[in-house]
Amino acid sequence: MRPMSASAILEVQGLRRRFGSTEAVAGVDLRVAAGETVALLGPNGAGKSTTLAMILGLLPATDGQVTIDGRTPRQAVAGGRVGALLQSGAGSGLPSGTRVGELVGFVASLYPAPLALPAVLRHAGLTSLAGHRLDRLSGGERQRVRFALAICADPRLLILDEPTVGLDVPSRRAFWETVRAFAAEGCAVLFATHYLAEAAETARRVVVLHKGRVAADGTVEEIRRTVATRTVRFRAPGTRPGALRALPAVEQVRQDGDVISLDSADADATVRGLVGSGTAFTDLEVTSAGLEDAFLALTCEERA
Amino acid sequence: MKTCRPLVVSFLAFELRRVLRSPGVLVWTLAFPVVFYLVNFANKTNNASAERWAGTSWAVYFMVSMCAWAAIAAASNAGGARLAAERASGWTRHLRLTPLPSWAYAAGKVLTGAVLALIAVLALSLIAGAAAHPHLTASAWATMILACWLGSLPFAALGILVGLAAGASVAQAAMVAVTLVLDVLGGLLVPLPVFPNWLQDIAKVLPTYRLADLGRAAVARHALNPADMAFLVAWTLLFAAAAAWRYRASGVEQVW
Repeated sequence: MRPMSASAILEVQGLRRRFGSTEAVAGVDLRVAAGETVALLGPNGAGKSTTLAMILGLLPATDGQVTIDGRTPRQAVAGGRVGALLQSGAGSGLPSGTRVGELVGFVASLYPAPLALPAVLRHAGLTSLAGHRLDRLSGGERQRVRFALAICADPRLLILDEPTVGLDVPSRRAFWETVRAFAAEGCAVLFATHYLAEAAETARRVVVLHKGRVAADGTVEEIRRTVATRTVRFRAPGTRPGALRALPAVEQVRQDGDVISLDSADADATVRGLVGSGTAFTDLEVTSAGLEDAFLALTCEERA
Repeated sequence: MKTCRPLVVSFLAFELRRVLRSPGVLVWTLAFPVVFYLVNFANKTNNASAERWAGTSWAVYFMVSMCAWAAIAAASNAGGARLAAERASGWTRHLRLTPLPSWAYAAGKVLTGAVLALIAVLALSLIAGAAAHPHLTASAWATMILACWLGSLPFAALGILVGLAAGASVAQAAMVAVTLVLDVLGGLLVPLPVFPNWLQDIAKVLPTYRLADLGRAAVARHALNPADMAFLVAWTLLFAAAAAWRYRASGVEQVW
């Protein structure tokens, strides 16, 4: 369990959402401390977007409770306590016929205590684009505008739903640098992603969502450790993978051309057994599971 | 620094700047009726048959038609395709993550249309007045302008309805088609006396005809017809009720 030390900016208790006969969110508990950055990780359909929409009060919950800075979601939105950048589907999420500075200034003017416009533009890396028309911006620039709209209220909690989908690699990197810099000023961030590298680089804590439930919640290291297996990989032309299944501690055998990978609960025993079996192999390598393996292990239907 | 003006006013100012930059809206609401008026007001045949134009000259009769056109185009455009596009792009959903309430968004759209309609009607009156010298009293001018302006309210409701009901890809075409049919059948493009009697009977039910009829009574210095106002109020309520129903039916999470 997480220590209850820092004060919570977000408290989610028993959150549920049913669509017809399917339960998209089936009882989620989540607590984000002030200033903390948390990644919400999960495959498509895990309930990430639905959970975030309920946290923001865009979607009524079937059951459960959300508190942001001691307020209901709608109160927190009206008070500018929470800012969000959601997926916009096919559209840009931005209006036509306006300019960057004009749009950000307008949205900021709706909040009770917004950040000053120059500060918002600086945080979002838009200072030099303030006079530009929105319809002339690149995808990465548009996403920075949407980021500016999310932070202009000077929120204490920032919610990002897969914010780098569709961006090229440099834009994606630049975007996360912007997020990290803003988080460093004390704003808590909860972001959904299915890019594992983004989760590991930006968040200390990862919450894995699977089938509408929290499948794991901890630091990246803790999540990695939930998968105790290591991978023993080597090159062995002409070897039948089936025979290797009988080696000590082997849980799974995978073959990719000449390369064999053994998932092992005890790599030392497996390697000793492999040597003893007289199998001819080269390029032996033992690796611990990465976040990706842990993620797959946590969210796979059933391991073979 | 933070100013304390109401959110609707901030939104209205933002929307007005956007709409005044939209070439499509300006062509449809301003350029088209002005040019169409200037081309047609001096039509010799129509000017010769003076008795057909509800007690006024053809130039004045047609000026009211084009003022009505401009007010209708402006009011309906505030919703219409723009609203549909904003829903499709996710912009309206982002606004739901701000303190701007849904009713203020709808009100801001209607007010934007109203301001644009007033600008359009005033511009047309000025240009038509300069071109045709209609010799109207100040009160006749004022009543006509007010009638065209306030009478465009049902079309603001219609614009919101189309913007909610039609997808972004068809909303523009749907809005043009609906207003064009109402404009033509209501006698704004082709003068009503040209229509056969049965078509004139249909026209008299339409909000376009009722709006123009109100304006024509004003310039002919007749008493305004209460039936015109009743029809316009009824159409406003009908369109607004349909829009409210669409808003509910499409699910709160998908609309605003």
